[in-house]
Amino acid sequence: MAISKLILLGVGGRGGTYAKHSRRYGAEIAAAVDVNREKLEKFGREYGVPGERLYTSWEECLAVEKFADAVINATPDRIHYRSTMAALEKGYHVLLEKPMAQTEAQCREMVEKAEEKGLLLMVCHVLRYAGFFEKLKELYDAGAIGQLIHLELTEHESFWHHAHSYVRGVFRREGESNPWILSKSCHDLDLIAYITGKRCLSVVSEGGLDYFCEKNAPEKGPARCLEGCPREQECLYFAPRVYLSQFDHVGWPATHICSDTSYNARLEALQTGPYGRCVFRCDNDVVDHQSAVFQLEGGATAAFNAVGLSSENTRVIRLFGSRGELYGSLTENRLTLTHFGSGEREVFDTGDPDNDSFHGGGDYSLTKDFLDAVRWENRNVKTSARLSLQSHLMGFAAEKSRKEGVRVEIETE
Amino acid sequence: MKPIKLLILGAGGRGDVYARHAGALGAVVEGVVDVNPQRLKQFGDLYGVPEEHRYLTWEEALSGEKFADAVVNSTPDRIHYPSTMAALDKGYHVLLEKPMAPLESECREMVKKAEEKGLLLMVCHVLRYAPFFEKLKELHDGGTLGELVNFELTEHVAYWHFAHAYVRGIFRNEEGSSPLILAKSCHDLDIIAYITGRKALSAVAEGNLMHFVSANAPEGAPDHCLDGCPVETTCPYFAPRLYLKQIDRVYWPSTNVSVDTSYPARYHALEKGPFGRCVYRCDNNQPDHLTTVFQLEGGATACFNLIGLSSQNTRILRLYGTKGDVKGDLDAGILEFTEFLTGKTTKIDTNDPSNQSSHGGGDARLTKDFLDALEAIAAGKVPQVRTSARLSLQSHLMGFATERSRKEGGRIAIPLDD
Repeated sequence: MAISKLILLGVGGRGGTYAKHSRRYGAEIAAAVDVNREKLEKFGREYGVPGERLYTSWEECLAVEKFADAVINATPDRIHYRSTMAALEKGYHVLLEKPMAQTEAQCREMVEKAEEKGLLLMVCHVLRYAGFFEKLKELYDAGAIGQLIHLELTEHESFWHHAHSYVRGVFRREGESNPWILSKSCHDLDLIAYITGKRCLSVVSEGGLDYFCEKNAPEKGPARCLEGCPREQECLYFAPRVYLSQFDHVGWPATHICSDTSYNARLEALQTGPYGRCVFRCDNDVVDHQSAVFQLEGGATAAFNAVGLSSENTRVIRLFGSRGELYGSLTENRLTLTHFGSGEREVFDTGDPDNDSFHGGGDYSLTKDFLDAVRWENRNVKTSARLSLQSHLMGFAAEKSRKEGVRVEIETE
Repeated sequence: MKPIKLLILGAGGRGDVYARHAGALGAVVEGVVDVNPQRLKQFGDLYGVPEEHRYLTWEEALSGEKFADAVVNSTPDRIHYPSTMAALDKGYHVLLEKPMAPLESECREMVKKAEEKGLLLMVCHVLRYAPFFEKLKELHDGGTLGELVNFELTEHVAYWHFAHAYVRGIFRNEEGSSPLILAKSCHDLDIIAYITGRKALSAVAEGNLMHFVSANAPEGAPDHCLDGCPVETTCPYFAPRLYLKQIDRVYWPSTNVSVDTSYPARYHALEKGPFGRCVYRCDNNQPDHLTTVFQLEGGATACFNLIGLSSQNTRILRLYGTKGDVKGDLDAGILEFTEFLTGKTTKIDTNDPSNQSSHGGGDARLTKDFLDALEAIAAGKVPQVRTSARLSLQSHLMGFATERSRKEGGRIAIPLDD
C-alpha cells in the first residue's frame, strides 16, 4: 500500500496536531497552505515539504492538478465551505475541522457534494474517539442504563481559555467564525446525537454575552493591558501575566499569540496584537454562557449547559436511564455506573496513560481512522459527514432559539 | 409569656413535623384537623389536643371563634387556597406548606389578603434554613464569586421515591395536587430566587412523562404487584420489596401506605390500595423528567433539571461567577469553592452531626423562625422572617411559567409581582 499523501490547509494549532498524528501513522505531508509565510516555512522544514508545495493561498494549491490523496482542512471556519467544495471538486477526500461551515445550507451542500462524488468527508469530532466517550457509548449501547430518560452535559470552559479564544482570539466574532455553540460546543452536540443514537426533534435555548463587555471595563482603563491599567494587580486577564510569565517552556495559549515565541516577540504581540487587549474592550460578540434543551425522539431530553467562566476545562456528563445511571467527568477519565434495585456501583477508568494526545486521546484515533479509510477505501468511519450534519443542525437551531425565544424544530434528514 | 397556640390543618407527615418542632420550642397544639378519624385520634392524643378542637373538616375548625394564634396549613395542595383564605379572614397568622396553591391567581390573592389584614403568611421554604444553603448564600452575598453568570441546579429524585410519591402516591396527578414543578421543585425555584437575589424574567422548559406509562408495562404484568407478576424478581418497583421488608422498625415510605403500619395492614394496603399498583399501570400524569432555563435580571441564567429516575435523593449544583465557582451536593453537605485568581479550592463541610432533622436541619429552624415572628408580633414589633409570602410568590411564578413553556413551547415571560 502506497504511503498516503496529504495536503494540509492551515498549519496552526489544529493543523499541526493532525500533521503530527498523520506522520506518526505513516502518512506524508505533500503540501501545506497558510497565509502566514513565516509559520508555513517553519512547518515545511519540520515536515520536509518541498518549497514549491508551500502555498500562501488555498485557491492556488487546489488549482493545481490533483497530486495527493486527501486534504486536511484546518482553515478558519469562514473558509471551510469554499475550500472543501474546491477540494471535493478536485477529487480529494477531506478531513474537515469542526464546525463544518457557517450556515446550514453550506453544511448540507458539502455533504451532498461528497456523496455525489463518492468521496470521504469526515468531520473532526475527535471526542467520539476519546476512550472516555467510547466506553460511555459501549455501556449505553449494551443497555447498562435501560431506556434513556434524560442526559445532562455541562461543558466547562475555564475563564482564561474563554478569554483567549472567544474574547481576544480568532473565534470571538460570529461573522468571522461561528456562534459559540458551534465553534466551541459542536463536539458536545455531536456527542449527544452520537451516544444516544437518537434524532433530535427540537430545541429551546437561552444565553448571552454578559461579562466580557464594555460595561465591566475598569474606569479609565486603557484599551491594552500594557498601557498602564489601574487594575493590573487583580485582573485575571492582565495579558502580561497570562502570556509572558513563561520563559523556558512556553505552553499554550502563550505559544499562540505569535509564531516566534521568544519573550520579546510575545511582548511586541501584546503591544500591538489582539491578545494584548483589555478583555472588556474587545470587538467580541459571541456569548459567554449558553444553555440548550433538546427533545430527542421517543421522549427523552438532553440538557446542555456551557459556561465560559469555569475554574476548569472539562465536560461532565450524566445519563439517567430506566435501570440505572451513568456519570463521569472527562478530565477525571472515570465513569460510574449505578444500577437501580441493587444500588450496585461499577467504576470504569477510561484513561490511557500511554496516550499523550489531546482531547482524551481522540486526536490520534480520529486521524488514524481517517487515514485507514483513505488507504483501504473504507467508508464506514465513525464520523461520516451525514452523521455530523445532525449535530450542526442542532447548533444552528439552538442559536435561532436563543435569539428568537421560541422552540425551534430541527429538520430531520 | 403565654405559650403560642397552633391549629394544625392536616395531621399527616408534614403536619407532624411542624407540630413536633413547635412543641419542642414551647408552643402548644390547640386544634387539629384531619379527614381520617384514626389519624386524627393518634395525632390528638400524641400532642394533647383538647377533644373539642379535633375536627374532621377544616371548614368546621375555621367557622367558629378564633381559638389559637396561628394556623399551620399542611392540607393537600388543592385545599391550600380556600383554607388559607378562611384562616386569614378569621385573623390567624398562617404557616403554609409549599406549594402555595395550584393556580397563579390563588397565590397572588392569598398574598394580597395577608398584606391587607396585616397578618403573617409564611411559606415553608425549609431549604433556605438548611446550613448548606445558608453557607451558599453567604458565599454568594459575600462577593467571593463575583457576579453570577450561571446557576446550574439538578434535583435528583431517587427512582423509588419518585414512584412512591409521583406515580403511585398522592402527587401523581396534576389535577389532584399541583404540577410537578410546583409540587416537587418549588423549593429549588425558591433557592434560585433566594440565593441569587435576582428576579427571573422568563423561562424555557421541556419535559414529559416518558417512563411510567402503560407502554412500558412488562408483558403479563397484573395491575397489582401481589397478583403474581412475571418480573417480580427483577423489577425495582415490586411493591412488597419496597413496602414490606421492614418488620420491627418501619420507615418512610413504608409508613405511608397505611395508617396502621403493622405487617398485615401494609400487606392488605398493597393488595388493593394505590401503593400496591404496577408503576406502569397507574393514573399518573406528572412528567418524570423536566428541564427549565431562566433568564435572570442582570443577564445571568439559571438551568434547573428535575429527574425522577436518579440513583439518589439529592440536589447537585454549581454557581459560576466572574471571580470563582462553587459546586456542591446537598446530600453530602459539601461545598467546594474555587477562586480564579489563585486557583485555590476550599472545601466547606456544612454537616451538623448534632442535627438529625430532615431537609438539612431546615424544618426545625423554619418552625422557630415562624414562632419567633409570632412572638415579635405579640410584643408589637415588626417580625423578621426569611420567607415572606411576597418573596415566595416569585418562585411560584417561575414554576407556573415553566409549566406553560413546557406545554406550549418557547420562552414565557414571568410577570413582575407588582
